[in-house]
Amino acid sequence: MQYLCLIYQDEKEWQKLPPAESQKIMGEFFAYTDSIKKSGNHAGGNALQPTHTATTVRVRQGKVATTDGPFAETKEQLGGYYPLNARDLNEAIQLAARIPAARLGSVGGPSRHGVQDMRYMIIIKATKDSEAGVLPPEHLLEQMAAFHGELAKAGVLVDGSGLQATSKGWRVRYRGANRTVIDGPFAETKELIAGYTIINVKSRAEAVEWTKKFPNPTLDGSDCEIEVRQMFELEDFGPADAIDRFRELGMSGAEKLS
Amino acid sequence: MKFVCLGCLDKDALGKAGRREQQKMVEACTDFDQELHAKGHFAAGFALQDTSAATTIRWQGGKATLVRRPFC
Repeated sequence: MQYLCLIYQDEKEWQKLPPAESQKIMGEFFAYTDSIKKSGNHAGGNALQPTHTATTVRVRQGKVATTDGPFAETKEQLGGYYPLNARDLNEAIQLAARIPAARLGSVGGPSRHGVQDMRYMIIIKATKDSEAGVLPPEHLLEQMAAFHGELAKAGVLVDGSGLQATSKGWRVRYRGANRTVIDGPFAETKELIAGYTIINVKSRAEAVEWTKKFPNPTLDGSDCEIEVRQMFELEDFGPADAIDRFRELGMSGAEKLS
Repeated sequence: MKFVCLGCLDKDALGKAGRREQQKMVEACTDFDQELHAKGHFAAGFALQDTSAATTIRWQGGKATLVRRPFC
């Protein structure tokens, strides 16, 4: 998930610092930025100019009104921000607590939840060919590679894979306390799956747009369907010890591939 | 030059708006993002969850403390 850390400070205090001191603090910020880049948590960030360079824009009944800074009524001003990639809120807090803001001699910043991403699984159904173990022809592999490349470039690709034929799989049947292993292959091709792609997007509409571009997965482009299902996120289950345990296992939502 | 635009809104007013109106606002934002993208002005952008999901970290005397509540 992404979290946005907003760093608030008293800009007057900051301006009062001797140059050597403010340069030292900036050095600490650069070192912090480097460290979160190395750990893969960095997702951007900027320092902001003092509020005397700021302008507030308000739109009321279609009319635009602007107010120039500085904004004297606030004790602390937004001095900078970091969007962070973190597994969960706890990791985000750990990262935010290391922001060198403590050295500013004033208070440091709130951390806010980023937008909740939604994961969708695109399910490719099995066909007679996939069940017979026929490998996709080169042109189809190329189309799939190009499409998944686009997903990765846009930062929405989580995972994807083709599945081997059900002749290599099995089912476990539950009958009372008994469990029986039933080896494949399984006959009802339409209910079987041959592959999946998981994407992480901001909205259903975005997911629909992507899935409409999914290459026809059959060998010869014949009529077929793919199915798309939204995945549960741990947040959907509400607070519970078991959910926290999943979170600790790193199952709080997939990391995007880039 | 780079500029940061902070979009602040009255969340009570947003809560009172109908689902269709909220949807319209989101679509207007998406359209605007796309326009910025097309013109090469878009550097980054995020929508934030409700402030009830926010956490404040305050430093006092070199120690960080957590405040898990919405901002006033």
